Amino acid sequence: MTVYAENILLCIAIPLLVCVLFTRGESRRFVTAFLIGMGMCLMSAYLSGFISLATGTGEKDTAVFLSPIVEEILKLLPMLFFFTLFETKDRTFTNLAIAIGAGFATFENCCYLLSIGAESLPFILIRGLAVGVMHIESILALAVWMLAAKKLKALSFSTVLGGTALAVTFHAIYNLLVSKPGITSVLGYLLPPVTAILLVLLYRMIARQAAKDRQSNAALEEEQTAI
Amino acid sequence: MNTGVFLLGIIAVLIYIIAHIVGMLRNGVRSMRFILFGFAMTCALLTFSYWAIFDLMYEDKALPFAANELGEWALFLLLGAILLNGVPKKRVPLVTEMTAMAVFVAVNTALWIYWNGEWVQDIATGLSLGYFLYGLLRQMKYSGKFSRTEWILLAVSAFAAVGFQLTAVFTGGSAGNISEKAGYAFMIAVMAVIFVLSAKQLMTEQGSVKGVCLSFSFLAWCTFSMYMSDGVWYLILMVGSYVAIVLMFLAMRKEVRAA
Repeated sequence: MTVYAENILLCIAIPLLVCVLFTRGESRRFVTAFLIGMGMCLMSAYLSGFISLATGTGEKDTAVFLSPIVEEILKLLPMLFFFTLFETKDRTFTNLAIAIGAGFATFENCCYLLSIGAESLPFILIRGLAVGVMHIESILALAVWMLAAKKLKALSFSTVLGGTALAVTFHAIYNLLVSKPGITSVLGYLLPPVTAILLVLLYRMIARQAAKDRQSNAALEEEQTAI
Repeated sequence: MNTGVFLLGIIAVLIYIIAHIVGMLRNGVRSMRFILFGFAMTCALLTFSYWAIFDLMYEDKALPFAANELGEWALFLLLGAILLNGVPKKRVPLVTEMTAMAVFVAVNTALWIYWNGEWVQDIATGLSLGYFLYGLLRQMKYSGKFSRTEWILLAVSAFAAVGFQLTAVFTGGSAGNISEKAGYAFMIAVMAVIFVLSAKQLMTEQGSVKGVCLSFSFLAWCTFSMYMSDGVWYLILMVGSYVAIVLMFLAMRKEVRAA
């Protein structure tokens, strides 16, 4: 079945564009980033298609090996735009990253379901929990890394490329695992939710450590003031 | 050649290294170099995992251009960033060393292109490895722990290894075959020497910059040699590069503990 991706994008984007007109602040930024994420998904489909034709790589090989690189780099571009041009708060920046990832995953799922069909509920749940979660966590991890690199004063081309490579490789491992049926695809579908749990634990650990550091710094300052 | 089994070994080691680094960070270690090193190791873990999964899933297929190449470039750039992070921004006179390094990287890149014809990937690999070597040379020069003789030996070894391969390419026939085999033996001999020097340095001196430089040089040597070889030689050098990762971790840990 032919999928007219541009038409689907228009259909989903118009109500969201109207939302942008009637919202303010964080909500408006979130919806805008969500729209950008959907746009990036369409762009990555174009670019992957072009690379597939230009290099003579088959459709399946492009989807398994090249799409993760194209998709993650295109998701990174708006992030870099926000990061370098606007002095956003950390929370705002991570929210933008989540919205871009969610927009990307939503549009990809819409096109996928329209081409494959939406009869099987287990399949839809797997698709939502695996691809949906994977797109969000890869870009969120990248955003957190960029913020950390900025705080450590280590933000450079190499560190940004390092973060992007992590996101790309994680995405590529998922695509590789699900490219063949059997035990590997089960592992692939489990990868995003398990990583999400690990990331939450890591995030909590970092937050606890930061709170501990703040407490000890405050105590040290108090002691110095007393002296 | 299926390298999946070897990769599984280094993946296990990398998981241990990352867990150890996270543990040290939890215990209050705040060294920027060490945090970047942890990040580089995570990058290496995902890259090797991708490669291992591919090898196990697609045994009969050659690995096309994929995410692991991007991961390797990022790994070299991050290692370069770690080394440059330990050097103040002020200028260090490095004209001769930099020129020699640029020629070495350029000749290597030309050889890779001659062997496999992958222009874009080979140039990108050359650039990222060049950045790593640049960081390494700056760190070595700044540390002031390497004598003039050691610098000369390093340059002679690097160009000798390339020389053997160039002779093999240009002469061909049995003379070329002998030069190629001699080149492999030479690369492995130098690898063994750098390993002994790094291990000795790590065992004798606490938190030394020289230990860090030697262990990173060990990885650089193994990587360049690996890219110039094939068959069983490639496997030996690949195992050497895995050992180098362990030595680098030990050297960085010593540096952090000494600080």
